[in-house]
Amino acid sequence: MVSDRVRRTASDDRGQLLLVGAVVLAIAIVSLVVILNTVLYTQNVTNRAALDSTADAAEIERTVVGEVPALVERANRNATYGSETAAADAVDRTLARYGALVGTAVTNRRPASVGVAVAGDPSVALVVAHDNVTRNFTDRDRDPEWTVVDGASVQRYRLRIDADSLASTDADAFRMTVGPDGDDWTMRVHRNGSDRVDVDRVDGGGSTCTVSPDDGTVELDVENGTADVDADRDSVGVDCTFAFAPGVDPPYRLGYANATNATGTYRLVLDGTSATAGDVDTSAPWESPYRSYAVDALAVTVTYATPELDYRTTTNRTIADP
Amino acid sequence: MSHRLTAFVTDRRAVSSTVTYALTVAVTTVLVSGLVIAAGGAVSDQRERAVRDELGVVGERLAAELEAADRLVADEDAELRLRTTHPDRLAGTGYSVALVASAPGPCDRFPCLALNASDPDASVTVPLATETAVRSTRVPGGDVAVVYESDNETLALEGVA
Repeated sequence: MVSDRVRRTASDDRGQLLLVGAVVLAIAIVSLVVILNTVLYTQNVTNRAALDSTADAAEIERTVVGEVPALVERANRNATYGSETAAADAVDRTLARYGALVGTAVTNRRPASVGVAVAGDPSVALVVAHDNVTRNFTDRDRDPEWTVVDGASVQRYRLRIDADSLASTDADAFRMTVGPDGDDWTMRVHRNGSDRVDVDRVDGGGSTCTVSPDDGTVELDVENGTADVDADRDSVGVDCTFAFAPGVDPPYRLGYANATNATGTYRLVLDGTSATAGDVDTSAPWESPYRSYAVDALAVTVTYATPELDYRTTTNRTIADP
Repeated sequence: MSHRLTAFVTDRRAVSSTVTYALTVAVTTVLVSGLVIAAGGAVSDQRERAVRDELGVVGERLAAELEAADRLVADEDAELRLRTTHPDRLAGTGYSVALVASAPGPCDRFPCLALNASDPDASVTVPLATETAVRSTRVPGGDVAVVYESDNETLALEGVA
C-alpha cells in the first residue's frame, strides 16, 4: 500500500517539465504582448499639447501683428494729441485693451495667457492736419500765404480738395511750395474748364497732370506722387504719377500760397518731431489747421503662456498710414 | 544457475514501458527547451525592435516640436521654452536624446537628433530642418524642454526634472 503511493508520487513528477515549460511560454507570450503594446501606445497615444501650443501661439502672433497697424492708425486719428507722450500713451492703452480682449478670447478655448504690449518707446511723428471740409487751407489767422512746416521731411502727405473751391487761372491757383528757403519745387492746383483740374509741378522742366474728379474732389497723395485720374478722360500721354520735390534735400520748408482758393482736408505726417509747425492750433479745441502727433513705428511684444509653452516675441511694425 | 542467468538476460518483459518513458521525457525536454529558447529569442528580438521603433517615434515627435519652436523664433527677437512630454523608458529601458549641431556625429545630415538606448543596444537619428542654429546638447529621455537661447540665438534641449 505504501509502496503504491510512493510509486504514484514518483510517476506524478512526469508532468512538472510540461508545466514549467507551459509557464515559461505563457510568460514569453505575455511579454510579447506587453512589448508590442508599448509600441502601439507610443505611436498612437501621443501627447500633442506641445505642438498644439506652438501652432496656437503662431496663430495668435500672426493675428496680433497683423492687426496692430490698423489699431495704431485708429488711435492716431481718434484724438488729437498735444505731445509725443500723449500719442504714445494712447497707443499703449489701445494695445493693452486689445491684448486683454485677445487674451479673453483665447482663454475661452484653451488654458492660455496672452499679452500684447508696446515694447520701449514708439517712434512718434509730428502731424499737421486740417479736417474742416468747409474751411480753406489758410493758417489759423486766415493768412493765405504761410509756412506750414519748417525743417521738415515729409513722410506722408495727402490732400482732398473740393474742385469747386479751386481757382480757374494759374496766377490764382492754390500753390504748395517746397525748398530750403523758398520754392525750389512748386505744385499748383487749379481748375481747367468745368470738370477738369490741372495739377502742375514746377521743378525746372515742369509737367501737368489733368484729373477729372468724379465726385468733385481731387485726391492727391503728394509724397507717393499720385493724383486720382479718371482713366477714360485723362489726357493722352499725361503722367499723373510724379516725384515729390525731386532734388530738394530735407530738411526743407513747406508752405502754401493762395490758400483761400482750396477747401477740403489734408494730413501731413513728418519724419520725427523736430520740425516746426506754422501758425496752427496746438491745444484744445483743435480748430483746423492743427498740430498733433502720431505713432509711426513701434515694437510690439506678444506673450503667450500655456502649461507647455512660454513664448515671448517682439516684432517691429511700421505704420503705413500714420 | 546458468539457466536462470540466461533467462534473465533474454527476458524482454517491461522493457517497452521503460523505453517509452525515457523517450517521452527526452522528447518532451527537447521540445520544451526548443520552445522556450525560441520564445526567449523572439521576446528579445521584439524588444529590440520595439525599442528601435519607439526611439524613432520619440525622435520624430521631438523633431516636430523642435521645428515648431524654430518656426516661432525664426528671425525674431524672442524667448521660448517648450516643455514636451515623452516616455521615460521605452520597452523597459532608459534612453538619451542628443541634439547634434554639426559633424562629427552619428547623422548623415546636420543638425540632427540622435537617440540611444543601451539595453538593448539601439540608436536612431532624425535629421532636422531648422532655420535657427542649434547648440549640441544631450539630455536623458523623458520630458524634455526645447529652449531658445536668445543670447547666442540657438535652440537647445534641457531635461525637465
